[in-house]
Amino acid sequence: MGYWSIDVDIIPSLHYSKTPRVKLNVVLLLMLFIFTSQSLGQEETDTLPPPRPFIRGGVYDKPFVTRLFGKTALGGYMEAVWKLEREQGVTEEVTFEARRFNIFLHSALNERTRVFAELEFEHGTEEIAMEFAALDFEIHPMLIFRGGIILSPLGKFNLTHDSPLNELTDRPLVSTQIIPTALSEAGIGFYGAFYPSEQSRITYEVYGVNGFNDGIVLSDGEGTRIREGRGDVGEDNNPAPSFVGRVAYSPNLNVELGASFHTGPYNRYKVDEFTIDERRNLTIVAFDWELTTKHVDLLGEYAFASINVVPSLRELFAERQQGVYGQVNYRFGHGWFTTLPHSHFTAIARYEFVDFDADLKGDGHQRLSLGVNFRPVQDTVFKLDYYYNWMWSRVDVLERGAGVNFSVASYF
Amino acid sequence: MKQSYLIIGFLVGVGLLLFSGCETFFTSPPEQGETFDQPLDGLTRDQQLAFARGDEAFEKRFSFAEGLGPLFNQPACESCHPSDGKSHPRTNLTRFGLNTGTSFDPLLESGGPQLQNRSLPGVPAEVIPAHANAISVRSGPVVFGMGLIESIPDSAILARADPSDSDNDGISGRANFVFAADYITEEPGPYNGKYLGRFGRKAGVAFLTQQVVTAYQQDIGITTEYLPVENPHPQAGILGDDVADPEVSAATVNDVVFYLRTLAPPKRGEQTPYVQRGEQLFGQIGCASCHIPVMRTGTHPTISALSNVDVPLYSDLLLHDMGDELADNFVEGEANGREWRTTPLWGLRLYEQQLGGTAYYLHDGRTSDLREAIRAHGGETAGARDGFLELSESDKEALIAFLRSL
Repeated sequence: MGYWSIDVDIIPSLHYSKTPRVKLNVVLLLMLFIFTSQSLGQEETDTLPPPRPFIRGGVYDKPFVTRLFGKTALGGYMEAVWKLEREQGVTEEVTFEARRFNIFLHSALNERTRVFAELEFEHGTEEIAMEFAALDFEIHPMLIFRGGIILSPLGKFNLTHDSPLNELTDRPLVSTQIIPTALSEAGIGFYGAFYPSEQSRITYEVYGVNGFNDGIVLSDGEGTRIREGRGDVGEDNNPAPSFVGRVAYSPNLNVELGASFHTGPYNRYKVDEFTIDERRNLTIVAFDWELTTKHVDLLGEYAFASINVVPSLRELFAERQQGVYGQVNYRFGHGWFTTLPHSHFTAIARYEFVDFDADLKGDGHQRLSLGVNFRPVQDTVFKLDYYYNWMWSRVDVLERGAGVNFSVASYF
Repeated sequence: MKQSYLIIGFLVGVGLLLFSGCETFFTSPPEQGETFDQPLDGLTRDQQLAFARGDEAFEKRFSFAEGLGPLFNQPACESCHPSDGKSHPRTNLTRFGLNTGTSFDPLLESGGPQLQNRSLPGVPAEVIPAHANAISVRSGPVVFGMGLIESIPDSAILARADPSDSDNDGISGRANFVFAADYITEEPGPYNGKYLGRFGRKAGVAFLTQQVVTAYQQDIGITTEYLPVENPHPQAGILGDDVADPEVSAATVNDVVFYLRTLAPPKRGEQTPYVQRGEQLFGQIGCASCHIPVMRTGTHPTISALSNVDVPLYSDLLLHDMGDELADNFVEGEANGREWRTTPLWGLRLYEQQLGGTAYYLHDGRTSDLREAIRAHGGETAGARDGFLELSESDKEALIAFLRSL
């Protein structure tokens, strides 16, 4: 029984007379009130233990509620597309597409420790993936630990692939087919930056990761498709880690040149202590470049992949693949709209080529894209682009295709 | 506001430009009759849908997760018949067996009669056993017009057979009578229990469905409801893969069969006087004795587009002794190691286009030169070959021009 349910009439020693009893009751009630008020008040003072959560570590006892309020931020980006695509004169697609809705979460635990996560919803809820979920701990600006699900530093595009950032609706072919953006893997490693001079900077990232899996050759009858072998973040399929890293040199704020690699075994060659197959490696080397001025960007990426293929699948599954893209962005029309002072337009041209089998004449894809974008604000973009495809089959027969994309993408 | 008008004007202009030049900017379809992958005219709506389903299944590239293997040659029908045409030599098949001269052993216990040179990772591919002496390398043939070939009555084909060369013209075409697979029919065929073979390089198969089911199993390593058993790998003691059988439904097989049955042959090229002169020479020197210009279908029970129409295939669909140079020593049904079914010549003019600029002729794609292909003819066809070699250069050119018009 709590204090409030005490019935003073049951205390015999206090039963003297009716009148005094009433007075005594009032006094007792007053005392009880004061007592209980003091008792409750004592819980709010610092001299007592902290409040006891309903469940220690439960939903209302999380650090972002109890301690990091104001230090945890939520954001994201979305992208919606309308596309028309024709191949050899036949309309293949005329469709609207809710392509992406990604949610970011960032939390600064202290000055040196941060957690960032990105949850991706593709095509509505058709594909849901944790694209990034890593903890950074800064030992020194030149040496920062990162662990979790990381975005692999293979080429620049994989690191900056958010739709509102990119001027064209479709990602570059080399950055989807040779470097399978978004490539995120479970791993740990370090990154950091050096400043050789006031203007210049060298950055690096290097991680040990689970790497790719047999899906490169097992998942698609089309041939070697690196994209199909993106690793499982839960468990490596073989006992050896892969390594991925990138070094970038920036002589000034406007220029960055990067070189990156990803190497390691992709097949399941060992189960426990039993060797069940030969170890086969996948190595991808990439170079990226970016020049940015007030009105013009020049950017691009080249990647080369070497894949060890089991002898019985050689010639059918490519052992070497490569691809490249080069893009020019030209910004114009700043402030044309007085009601949108930060708005501007961008004209874009991109050429790209992917050779799905560098040992074979044929099996390639070339594309030319032209686009015009409008950004009412920096983080929101309306894109209109046209592209023309030249696709060569494995027997070198050319097929042509073309299409138009209209899309909108925005950070929030 | 001025800029707004400019922008709107620009967008409207771009839109008009794109849509006024739709075919330029958004690609145009190939002309009717200029490819191998178009349907026959006159299909009903349901038949067109079945054609489309079959087209998709024919292009389907199987992955290991879907049942490809454990042994296979290529991952899709289309790999050996790109754009429904002839294969590139890179995808040639090899068959092997043991020919003693008096008997033929397809070497089933050693993985015969077809070499599957690809395999699931972790599984060794097949090799040709050392004791095999009949090794037949073959390219995939064109696959259009198969319904038309199927619809030619037996009697029309057999009427041209002359196994003992009773007319003494040096040409002794004969039919290849073959058994049907159990899953096709258990009815005995009309020719001592056999049927008239008409599909394959040696006319070793009588039924289109059997051809498709066998290709799924032997070439792609895919089991079907018709034949739900993997092609075994006796060289490695492996009986199958981890994917449950059958890996493809009977309905899908039927769609592919329908697709092949209703693929139209391309139209003839321009028939200039020069080409017509070549055609005359083709007949005069005896090529047309086997490469019969036209046959005719009978009445098809369900597809009117196949009923009572001319079939300009340039073949008699019979077996002929082609001589030493083309002999493969491989026996198939009643066809011996020197015999081949007369290859239909229709569509010859598009072979280059369909293979990225280089044509590959003869049963194994050994040459890209039509003259070389003619020179390789021997046996019964030596007379026609010699007739070609004796022509003047301009006549040879005219005959080649005729072939390139087919």
